[in-house]
Amino acid sequence: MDLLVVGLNYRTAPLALRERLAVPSDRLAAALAELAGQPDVAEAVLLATCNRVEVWAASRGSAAASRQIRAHLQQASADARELDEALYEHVGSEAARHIFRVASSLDSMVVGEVQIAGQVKDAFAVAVEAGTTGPILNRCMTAALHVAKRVRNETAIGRMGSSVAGVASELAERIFGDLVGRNVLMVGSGEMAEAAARHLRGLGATHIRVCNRSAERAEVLARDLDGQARPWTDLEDSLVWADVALSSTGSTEPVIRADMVARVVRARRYRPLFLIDIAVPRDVEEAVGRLSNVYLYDLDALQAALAENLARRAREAQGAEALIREEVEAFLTWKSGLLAVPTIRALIEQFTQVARAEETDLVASLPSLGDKERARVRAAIDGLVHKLLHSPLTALRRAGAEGDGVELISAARRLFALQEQRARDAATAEPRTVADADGPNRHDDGVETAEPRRGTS
Amino acid sequence: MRFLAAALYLGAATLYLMHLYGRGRRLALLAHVLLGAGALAQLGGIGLQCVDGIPPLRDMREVLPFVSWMIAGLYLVASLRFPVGALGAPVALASALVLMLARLLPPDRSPVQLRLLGELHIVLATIGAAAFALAALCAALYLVQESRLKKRRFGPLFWLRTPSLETLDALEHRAVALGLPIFTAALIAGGAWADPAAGVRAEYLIATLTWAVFFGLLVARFRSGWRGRAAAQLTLVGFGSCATVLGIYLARSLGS
Repeated sequence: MDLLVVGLNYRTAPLALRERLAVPSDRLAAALAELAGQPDVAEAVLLATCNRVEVWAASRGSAAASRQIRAHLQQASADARELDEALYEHVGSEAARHIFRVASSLDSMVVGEVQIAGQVKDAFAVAVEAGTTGPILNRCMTAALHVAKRVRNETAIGRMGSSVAGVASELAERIFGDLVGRNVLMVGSGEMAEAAARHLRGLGATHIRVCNRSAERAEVLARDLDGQARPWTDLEDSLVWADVALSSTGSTEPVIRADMVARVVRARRYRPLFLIDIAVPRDVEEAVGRLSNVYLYDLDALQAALAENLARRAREAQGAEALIREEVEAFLTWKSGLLAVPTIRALIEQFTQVARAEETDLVASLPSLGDKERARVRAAIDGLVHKLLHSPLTALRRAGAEGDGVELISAARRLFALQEQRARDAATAEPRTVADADGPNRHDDGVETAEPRRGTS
Repeated sequence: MRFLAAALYLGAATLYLMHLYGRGRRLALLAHVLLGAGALAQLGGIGLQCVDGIPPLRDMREVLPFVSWMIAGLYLVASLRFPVGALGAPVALASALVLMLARLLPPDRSPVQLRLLGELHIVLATIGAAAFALAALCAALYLVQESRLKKRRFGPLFWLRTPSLETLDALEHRAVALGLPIFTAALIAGGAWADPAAGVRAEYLIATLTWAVFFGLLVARFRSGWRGRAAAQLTLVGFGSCATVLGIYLARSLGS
């Protein structure tokens, strides 16, 4: 069985097409059941976000499975040619690499964004619930979420703001540290300032005031942000109250002047004040930035910080790619080992059955044997079986771990006349729960005896 | 033991630097463990000395390791309350360097037999100096961060995992608030212990200046909340004069 990815994303498909293919959450389970019901699709996960729709599958034959998945997706799209041009496909190691990159946000519109890992986790949970996953996708998804966590923790890729609002929040954290409980003042009602206020609110800055020349507009915005509206005449007092002030009025003259801020700084006992001026023309006098304990950032400064962030993310992405290569290799080694596992199980089971049958016959033919002697007979037979199996099992494990043992495994099955059905059943483990997804059990190859651990020779 | 402690401090400094550059959150915890192990090793060394009948702090060769130990210890205590992982690198480096400096000093051939007041003065002054050293490290990092934020310099160093300005300012203030009463007691004990016949020495005046600077800082903070760049600069001035006093004793120790 091989890993297969078929899908489209924001790079290959316009929004209209992505909208047509989007699957509502109440239809996901049914869509998954249809996909997994295809003859050559053994396992399936469906990832449907605003920027991509992808089917991640374990297939018995990738070409046929790909045709079946495309046909399924075709049902939602009227234009077959448009869909065909937009779809991409990855098989085997490339599919694993793609899945890991998606989960780690390296394939996202904004590299380093944090939502995608949660979306992948949710898609996995739905598939597990629907019963459309198996050992391949369980392992792959667990590894994908693990590598996403590694990328988040071991690189700085997710720690830098990727929008003006994100950068403003990061700068606020540089000044104040934890933003929980901080006071945010919105001066005016510009969209970008509102977005930044929401972003800060999301980080815990839940005390929000809105000061606007129009009392009505201030009320609407304050209600929207779950804050308080203040009259325009309260601007100076509100600046004393605020830790962060976002200004975006339509004024042609500065509304926040240096003499006002100098009074504000003294009144707030020199606590730092972060002023974000997103207005054009600017709302805050330039001289304000030269005051002690006042940090003033206009649109140009924020965009310079944003450009530096995005460049840094690109550099961090290289480190992330290296982590992903490592994890893809580990996943492929595990997958190769999977070939050997059912054969090893079947071999042990067969020898054990023969040993037990011979033991029963021998003990029946020697009724005078006491318990001690019977135990000795059992130990001798078991010892013989272990010695006989030692070399073949070692060879099979090595072949599985090195990923090139198909011929040897096939020969072992023929030599020992192992039953194919029993081997298939042994390979099909119970689906993992999503709770396992955050910490993959890397040593679980499902065999009772001491199987080689991944990474050891 | 001191060699082991210095090695542990340097190991901690390396891990703190790696954490600063965003390579693994657990590195900060491991660095704390190494720093703590170094402080314990030093404490063990002091304990062994006492068992051998060698009084600690009898000369500069003993005072400096004590300062190094106090800086590491105060930082570890502060890190329980403040998110100051990034400060660990300069703290660990400073502790290691002071320890290694002490190793370079020759032993005092005729150590002065101190009365209780003298020993009390030295212990208290050393603790106060260590607290001021921690405040100075915070102030230095504050000035660097503040300058970058003010001037909007967004190079690669800007986004290092450093403590916020408020955290650095708060820790700086707490360290001064801790150090000043102890330093005051040290000055009083020193005044009572000093030989009037020796007259007014330079180190007494500089120590008094140190006290005045930090006292002024605390009063200004209390009365009007004064803080920020100027306060950080004054903290560095205060520590500079404190370090000058230590330097005078060091030079005297080398000359004897």
